[in-house]
Amino acid sequence: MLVKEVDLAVIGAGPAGMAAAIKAREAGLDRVILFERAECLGGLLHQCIHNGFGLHRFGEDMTGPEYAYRFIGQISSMDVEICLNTMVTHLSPERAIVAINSRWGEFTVNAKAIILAMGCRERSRFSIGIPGSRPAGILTAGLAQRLVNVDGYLPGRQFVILGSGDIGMIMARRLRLEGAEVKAVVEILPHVGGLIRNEVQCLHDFNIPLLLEHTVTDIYGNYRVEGVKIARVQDGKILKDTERDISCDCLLLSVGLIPENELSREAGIIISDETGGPMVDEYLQTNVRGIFASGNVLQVHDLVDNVSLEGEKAASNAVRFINGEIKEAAKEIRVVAGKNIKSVVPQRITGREDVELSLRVKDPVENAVLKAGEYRKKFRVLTPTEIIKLKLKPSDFGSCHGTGKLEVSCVEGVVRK
Amino acid sequence: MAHMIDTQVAIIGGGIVGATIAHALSKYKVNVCVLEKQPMTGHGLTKCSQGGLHGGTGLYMSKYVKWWEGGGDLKSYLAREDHLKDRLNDPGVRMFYELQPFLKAKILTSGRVMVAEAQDDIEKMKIFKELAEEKGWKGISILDRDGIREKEPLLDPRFIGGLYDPHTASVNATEWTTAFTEVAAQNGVHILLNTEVHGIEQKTGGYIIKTNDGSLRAEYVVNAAGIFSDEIARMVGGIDFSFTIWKCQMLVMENTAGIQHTIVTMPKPMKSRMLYMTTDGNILASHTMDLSNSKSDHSTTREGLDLLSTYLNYYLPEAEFKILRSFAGIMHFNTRNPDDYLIERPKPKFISIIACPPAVTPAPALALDIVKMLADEGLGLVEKSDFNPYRDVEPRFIELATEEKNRKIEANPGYGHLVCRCEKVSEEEIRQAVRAGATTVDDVKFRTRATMGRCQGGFCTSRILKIMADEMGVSPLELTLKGGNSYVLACETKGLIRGDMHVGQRS
Repeated sequence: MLVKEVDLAVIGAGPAGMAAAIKAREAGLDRVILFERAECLGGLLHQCIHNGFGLHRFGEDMTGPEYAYRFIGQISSMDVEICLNTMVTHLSPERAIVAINSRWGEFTVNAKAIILAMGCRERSRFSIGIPGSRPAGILTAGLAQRLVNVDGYLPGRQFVILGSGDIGMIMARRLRLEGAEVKAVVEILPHVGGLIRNEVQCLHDFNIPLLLEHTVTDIYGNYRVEGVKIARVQDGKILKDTERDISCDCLLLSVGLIPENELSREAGIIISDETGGPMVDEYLQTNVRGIFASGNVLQVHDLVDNVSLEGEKAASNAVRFINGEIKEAAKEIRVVAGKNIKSVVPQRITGREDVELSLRVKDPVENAVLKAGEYRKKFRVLTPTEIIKLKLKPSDFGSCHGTGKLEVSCVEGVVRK
Repeated sequence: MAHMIDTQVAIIGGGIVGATIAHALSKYKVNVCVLEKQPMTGHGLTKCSQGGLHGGTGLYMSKYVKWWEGGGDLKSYLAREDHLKDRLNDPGVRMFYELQPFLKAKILTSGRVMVAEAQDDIEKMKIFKELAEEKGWKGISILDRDGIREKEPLLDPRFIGGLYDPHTASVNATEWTTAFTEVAAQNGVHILLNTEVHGIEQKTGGYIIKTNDGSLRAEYVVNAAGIFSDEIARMVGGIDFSFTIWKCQMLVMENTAGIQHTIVTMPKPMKSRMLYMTTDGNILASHTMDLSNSKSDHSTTREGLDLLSTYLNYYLPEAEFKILRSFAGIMHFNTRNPDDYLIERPKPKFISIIACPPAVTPAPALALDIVKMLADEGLGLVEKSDFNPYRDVEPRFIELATEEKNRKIEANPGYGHLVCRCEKVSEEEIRQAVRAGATTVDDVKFRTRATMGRCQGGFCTSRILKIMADEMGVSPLELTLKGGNSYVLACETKGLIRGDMHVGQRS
């Protein structure tokens, strides 16, 4: 069996992994290997043919493939070992990776540091427990996006879309442009799951009905979807007398993304219940030393620009780790989600460096004040669909060193349930 | 089937029962056809069977429920073997193990922990144990509170003890049906897929079977049409029974809690709460029971899924599982003798098998009985000298040792391309499934496990469609999930704007 020794191994060549590999080479690492299970670099960017990428990072409005090619172009001119069509099958806490491809067979890579950049997968119909029959024509929005935008096929003619995540709303518009009928986008919450700009540009601008506080309660059809039953939902309860049928031949699901951490778990990496991603410190390092996480495998992001930034940050820290510049903290400070905070990354900090916290609120809130240690910041509106960034300095931690705990809370504001 | 086919034996139905009979007959110089209405075998009720192989005390589970209704002395009731399905149970189990090296389908012998809430249950379990031991099953033990938790540490402490039976095993009934069918086919049995029987006429010297795709003349007919066996039986004469149909919902879960055994409790009428190990190590929460009036309603319900999720809590309140899939199987019992199979011979050389649960465990033994009956009716059985009992199937690639994997990848790079990440299935295995006869996405799934994992095909479906289409030499638009009009795709992009017809409408 082939055994390779490298400085850095990056698992996943989407926006996080590509940015990480480039940054690591720029920072002077010699042997960088990049694993990608698909046939090309770029991950899901290839199927995201809509615009809105790169506004923050490049100051340009780009499509997904355009954004991807900025990185692909750069990485191709660098000396990075790129393994396409390569599936990583095992990861050990000693930083040994087992992978399989056609070129090298099953092989092992021993790395001084590893960056996890596997991204996320979509929740299936079964994991959210939609009852009914199991015909053809039930698929996740991301799979539909791949079929339409990359493979060139429509999976149906008349659609109902459950969930108003960004991919769901973007696919509603895409399918409408293809001449398909989108009968409704059905969302269980009182607000959309994705960005407001997608609600406006993908649904309202195309007169696609958005049914808030509704869900799909049954699926009909033996061979092919023939229709779904929907109902109003109030306080988490399905109102039976509001049930009605909608005929359609395809049900798309945009009901949440799950960070893809099966490899991480195998390596003994602790996964947060709140984010679904590894618990990390401010270096984005997991509890297994030398293994870092970035992008959607760490936390589901709203903007790809931030995914790339996170990849670069993980790479810079991986380089510092390899150079022996990241020492273990004598005592760590736990970062915990307080009032109206759903999740915070990182989950622990050393307290000796600047820290950027990424967090999400539980409920939408107006005129909010967020507090973390000595740090306070005002916000006009905060919604659960966006990631909020707070930049803290060591002076903000003050008393946290004593208590060992930094609580992040929404201390003021009017909550909109 | 453009012209009339002549055959000696026609088996109607390609489920586990029909497949085992076809396999048993393929050893002899007999011309046999299997007629299956679906595009693949083993995808009717067989597919949604629980897959239990009821060795050891397993037989007594369902008998116990019957005893509950009738009362009397438990031991003598359980010991009675006046039902065909009971007599065939242990021989059936043994045959699965004997055939395994030839058919290369999986058996997972996980063993079973049967838990008790009260001492009374333990006393009954002791009777189960005694009876099974009398039949030669060894290693069954009665355990105390600590004993059951040694087997399954996450069991709720309220269980006071139980019975451990090492003989409980699982099979994937669809995989076995495929295996029986493939060996039958390689030994000359004709498997006619997409062939639905519409009528049967008795003629001198045999029967004319009319199908959606022409007619077939057969000397002998074996009706193994499962839940549709009453309809086939009616085609040759009056029948005096109907079916009571129960819909049984089940949940498949990723075994994140790491349980090692099938876990059950003393069964109660209408209440069977089991956590069943599947051959692939997943957990099947089985099952709900609701009277149904449909032979083909496999839909799940909100109430059913909610009830199933309480089963976990009942046994393992601390454990966490992730749901992979839910589905509904169907149990049907004939109204004349609901506790047993009916083997009907309404006309000469016509045998109807009206099975009931459990249908998988006894199937290979039942097949031998049916072959004997055919011989009694006059079918000449001369053994073939060139019978090849071995199924030509590759082991799962990902389970091979590294050197073996690398040898295969070198010979065929398609093995090195893993398409399904969750179940780690290679491109070459998908191509092989197609070459072995799979034409639908579901058939490829059951043969390879591709799309069976936690993402349920979210990543790999697009790739699998391409590989299947390429290997079959068709457009991806032609591919169906499970036959009929279950087309996976509707049209090409811009097809709606152009006004393309659906592939299903074109033919």
